[in-house]
Amino acid sequence: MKTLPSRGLDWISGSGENSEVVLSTRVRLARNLQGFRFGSSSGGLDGTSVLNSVKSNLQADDFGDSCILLEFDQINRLQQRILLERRLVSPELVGTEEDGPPSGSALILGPNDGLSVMVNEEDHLRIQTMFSGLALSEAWDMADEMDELLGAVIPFAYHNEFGFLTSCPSNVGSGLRASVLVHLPGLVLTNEIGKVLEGMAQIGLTARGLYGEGSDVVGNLFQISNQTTLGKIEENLVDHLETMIRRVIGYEHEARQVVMKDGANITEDRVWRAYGLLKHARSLSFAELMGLLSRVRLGIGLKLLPDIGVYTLNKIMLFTQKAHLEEAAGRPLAPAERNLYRATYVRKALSIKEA
Amino acid sequence: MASSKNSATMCDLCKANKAVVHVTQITEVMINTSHFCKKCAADKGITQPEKSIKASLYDFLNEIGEESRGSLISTQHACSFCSMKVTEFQRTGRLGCSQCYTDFYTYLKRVLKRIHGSSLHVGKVYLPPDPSAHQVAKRLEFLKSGMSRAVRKEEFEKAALIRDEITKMQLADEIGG
Repeated sequence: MKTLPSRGLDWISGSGENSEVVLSTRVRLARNLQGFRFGSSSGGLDGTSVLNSVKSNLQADDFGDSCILLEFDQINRLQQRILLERRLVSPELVGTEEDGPPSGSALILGPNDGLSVMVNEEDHLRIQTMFSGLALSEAWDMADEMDELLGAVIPFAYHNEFGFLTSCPSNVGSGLRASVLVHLPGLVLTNEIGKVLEGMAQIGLTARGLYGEGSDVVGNLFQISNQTTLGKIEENLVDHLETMIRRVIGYEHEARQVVMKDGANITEDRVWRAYGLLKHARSLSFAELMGLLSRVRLGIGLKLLPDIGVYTLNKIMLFTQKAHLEEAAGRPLAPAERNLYRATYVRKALSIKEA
Repeated sequence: MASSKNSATMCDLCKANKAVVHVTQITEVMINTSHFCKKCAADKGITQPEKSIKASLYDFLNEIGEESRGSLISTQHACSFCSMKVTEFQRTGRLGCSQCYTDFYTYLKRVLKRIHGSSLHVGKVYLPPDPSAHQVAKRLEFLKSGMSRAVRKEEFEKAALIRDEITKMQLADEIGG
């Protein structure tokens, strides 16, 4: 069994722009190969041929040497779930516990940490980039560059009028989905969040939970992305999202001021209580943890907690997910046991001071 | 735009009826929400927003299917490459292969217009591994417009990179042609 390279971790640094509100920025481009059936409708019939074609095209090119290919039938279930928790692959690529991943599922890790390509998801290729903080143009540029490199050696399905063709018509054209993961506790506390989300929908943006489509909002984290992909130049789609995200960040800062003005004592108390619970709890469910992390993250943003930064929180969020805990424990964990391991991890992480 | 939900708020205009329509306006500086009853909202010409794309995709695919029966294409018509039928697409919302876009062109053009508000791609122009002269010309056109955009935005480094690409393509074209 292959060991997993430690990739997809750069974003947790919390070093990017607006890191007090924005956790990460992602861009993905949906691409399909000419001459094969799309993933979801063929039931994976062409999956193996698609993967073989991608492999041989990449091997024939120098560029392929700088990439790492992780074929899902060469890594175990736990490793697949770790990739999912690092948001390098989607639930669809991992598949259900009964059926497993679709045939030919693979992940290509590019030369940079934030760059990867899912093979045989709903579309044959999903080029994706991930950055810490707000970094939309950087994320788009890197995805664009990878798209150029891949498209020059692998013939893509492209239509003169419709653009890049995808399995679902909602991705046709640019195939571009740009999304920003934002932490909006101020807007939630002041009850303004509904208005903001409604407004987003009116200007062609959607808000989803942490794990993307269909996932619940946990820990006041919202993933905001463009809804349509056709009829606009890629840079304009990205710029539009960026303008709106900056506006949302502004609203969030205003809301945080209101929270502090109206209830500084209560807020401070809630932040420190959450911090205290994280520091001393012996058992934590993921849902409880996410709620507490949100309060502490708000505390860092309001400069109420001096000795801790967002890097520690991001690290906790990532490494206390199920598969990561099981990997560290070296065995499967029952839910109650997992909560014990999670609390232990959190206590340890909080005892280390950030430089 | 407007949305309706249950609320005990009263109408901002007549102050007599329960507000059922809530309008949120987002401007450069503020977010403002107004509340109207059904009658006042209608008087002001405020209409209900369309359902979200995901929720309405199924409905409108069927709706278009109804319209197209016998006229545009037969819903029993199958794709020449993957044999998928339009009825299947209407059920799953997923197409079978890239040929479907050619075989169901008229129908899909309408679907795309409904989803995106446009059916014409104006973004990146793809240059395949073995391009035709037409594809090269289209790509050059796109690169040139990208270069002027970069210059306009004062992204000179980017503009220079695109310029190099244009020069490279023109050279290759001269040698190849």
